[in-house]
Amino acid sequence: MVVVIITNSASWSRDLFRENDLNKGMITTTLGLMCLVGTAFANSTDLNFTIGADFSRPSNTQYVSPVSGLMNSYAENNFGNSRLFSGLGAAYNFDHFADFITFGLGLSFYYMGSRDISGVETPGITILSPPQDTLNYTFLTKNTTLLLEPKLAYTVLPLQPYILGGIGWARNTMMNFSESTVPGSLAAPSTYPYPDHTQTSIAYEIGVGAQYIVPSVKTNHAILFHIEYRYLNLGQSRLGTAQAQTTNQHITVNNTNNVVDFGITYRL
Amino acid sequence: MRNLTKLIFSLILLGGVSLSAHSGNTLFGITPSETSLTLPSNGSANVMYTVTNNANTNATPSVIVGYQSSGNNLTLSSNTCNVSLSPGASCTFRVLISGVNQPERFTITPKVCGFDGFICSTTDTAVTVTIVTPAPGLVTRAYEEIVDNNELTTTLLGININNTSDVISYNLSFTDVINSVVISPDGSKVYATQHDGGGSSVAFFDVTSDSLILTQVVHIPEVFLHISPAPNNMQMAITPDGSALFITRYSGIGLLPLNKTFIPSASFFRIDLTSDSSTVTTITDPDSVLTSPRGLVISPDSKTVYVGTDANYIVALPVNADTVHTSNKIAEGSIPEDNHIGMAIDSAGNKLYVANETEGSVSIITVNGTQAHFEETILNSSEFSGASGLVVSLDGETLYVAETDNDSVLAVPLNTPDSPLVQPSIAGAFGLSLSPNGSLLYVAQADDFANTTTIINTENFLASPSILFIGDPSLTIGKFIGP
Repeated sequence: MVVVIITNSASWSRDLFRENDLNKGMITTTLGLMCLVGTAFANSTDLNFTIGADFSRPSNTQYVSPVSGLMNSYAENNFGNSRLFSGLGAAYNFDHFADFITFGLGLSFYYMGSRDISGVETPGITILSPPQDTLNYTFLTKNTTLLLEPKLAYTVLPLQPYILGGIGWARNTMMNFSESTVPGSLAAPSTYPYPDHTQTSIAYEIGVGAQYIVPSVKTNHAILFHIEYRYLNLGQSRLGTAQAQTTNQHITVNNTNNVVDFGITYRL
Repeated sequence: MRNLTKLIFSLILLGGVSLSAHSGNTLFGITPSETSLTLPSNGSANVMYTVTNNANTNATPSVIVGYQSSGNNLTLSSNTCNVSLSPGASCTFRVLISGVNQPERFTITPKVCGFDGFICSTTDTAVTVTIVTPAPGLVTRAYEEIVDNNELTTTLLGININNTSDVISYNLSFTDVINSVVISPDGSKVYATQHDGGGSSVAFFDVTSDSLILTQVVHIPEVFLHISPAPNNMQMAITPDGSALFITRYSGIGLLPLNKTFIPSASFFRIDLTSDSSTVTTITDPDSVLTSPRGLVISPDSKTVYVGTDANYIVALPVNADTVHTSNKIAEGSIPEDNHIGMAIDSAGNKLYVANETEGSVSIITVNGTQAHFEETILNSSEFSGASGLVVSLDGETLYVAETDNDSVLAVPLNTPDSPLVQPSIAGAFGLSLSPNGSLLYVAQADDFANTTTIINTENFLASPSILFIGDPSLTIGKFIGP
């Protein structure tokens, strides 16, 4: 049994789901933490899907010494590529967290499509006089992350600005490193390419956005559309240690991402 | 802004590289000894590479010969590069190329790495290798000229090495005394020297129908025939790419079975096989270096011809040279003054073996094109005499030597040459030729009364050889088995 109370046309959004069905909220929770906290103030549950693009341009480590006495330069030069950002999540919302403020606590999983990072490798920069022959290099990086996301939304109007944050874990993979000869160059790929490597890092985010709520008077549910920007720091990823490598230096990438995404939320 | 700067820099860099020839600096400079090779599918050759350390510090090269090559059976050999090279220092290695199981054409671009493989260079010149493959169905035969004791009847035989009862033949006009029969790399043609009284010539045979069909007789210029006795010995070798025949012609030299007196009435010729006209070129000798040429062998890369003499040197000549000069002498004074009728070169093309007929010894010379370095003379005890036919095993580890005066054939392990295996009682053992897979060694027998050719199983050298009756003696020398 759901009771929907619309107070007035200007403020209905704030009260729309005031007496929401707690049981339905509980069903949505894959998230025990939210359930525990939400019993006192809970009044809505969100299931959301978001998709967007990461427009960041991460640079890899430029100088790597795989063995003693040898320093190679890896100068990234792939410009203009963005990558897919997508995610699924669930959140529990606490109305009356403050006046006109809804506090949501969600758990979201985000997938960031593979990014092709490439550039020009100059092997032996300290042992050869310039101009040195070069190689092209390329590798892929991809990331997934699971974030606990608090969110504060100003809900006085249907168009509701909000800020969000998040903290959790990221799985960062760098893979498929390869080198290729540049036409006219006599530099050849190394015997031992850097292997794939996956690591887990602490991840965090901050973001701002706006959501527009479309209620359904029949179901007492609502659909929200949002657009948001988030800064997402997934920590560092690196390529693996090559066979015969004697140092602990690696090609690394700091996964700081600037994401613009939009999405849809089903509010129970 | 930073990214834009990187982009502009990279575009300039890439544009410059793609529009211009190589001008950068890489760890190792890698220079091949040649740019192209043609070899038969049952032959082999090698390319020598020189590696130079361009770094400002020591670097130890490691060589990967098959880098970006579709060729098979590429083998690293004679590698002096497995040591630390100081800045500017050089080393060399060879890539051995077997013609077996290869694509028709491929390139070789070895890679040389330093610093444990983390910085690598490749060569600025890809070597193109072209494989000449015999047409399917051609029978591998041992071709020998036999002559009756009265020198009235001369027959060219082609013995199927897999079925010695299968013999094809052709009656030549007359034979020269010492003679050669060679097979084109594609196996379609057989060339036989002959001396027909009216002059010396080379008979061309088409063997594609598995019979000896005479197609052409190319006469050698009659420069010295007014001298008596006429120069009635001929040897011949074909370049591995099949582009040319080289012929030496010289007088009797007191070798079995005829007892002729040497007269310096020699000549050296090249027949161009790239056109139907088969043009004969007389290699001129203004410095009288080749007054009496003898044995012949051509480098596996078809670039250099080595000519035996009756003096204390060998002549090394580019195959396209039209003139011999004093500068073409190699190993002068290091090898004995002798009759060098037998010669061989290893499949790598860097060891030249020269028979010293009177001494019964063999001189070993390291060669690189026309450059040479005398190594040593082996078998120089008085135990042996009459060194004539020579052939090197496919792996380059054994030298087979026919000692005509001793009626024997030796298998000389080249790492312990003082302990040869001796296959005795091969009367007048003269010319030697290996089957394509190296398992059979055919011995042409010059002895007047042998009338046989002997077949030695090289895998069991001291076992009793097969003796094949062929009716008359043979003084065929050179590579007479093919394709």
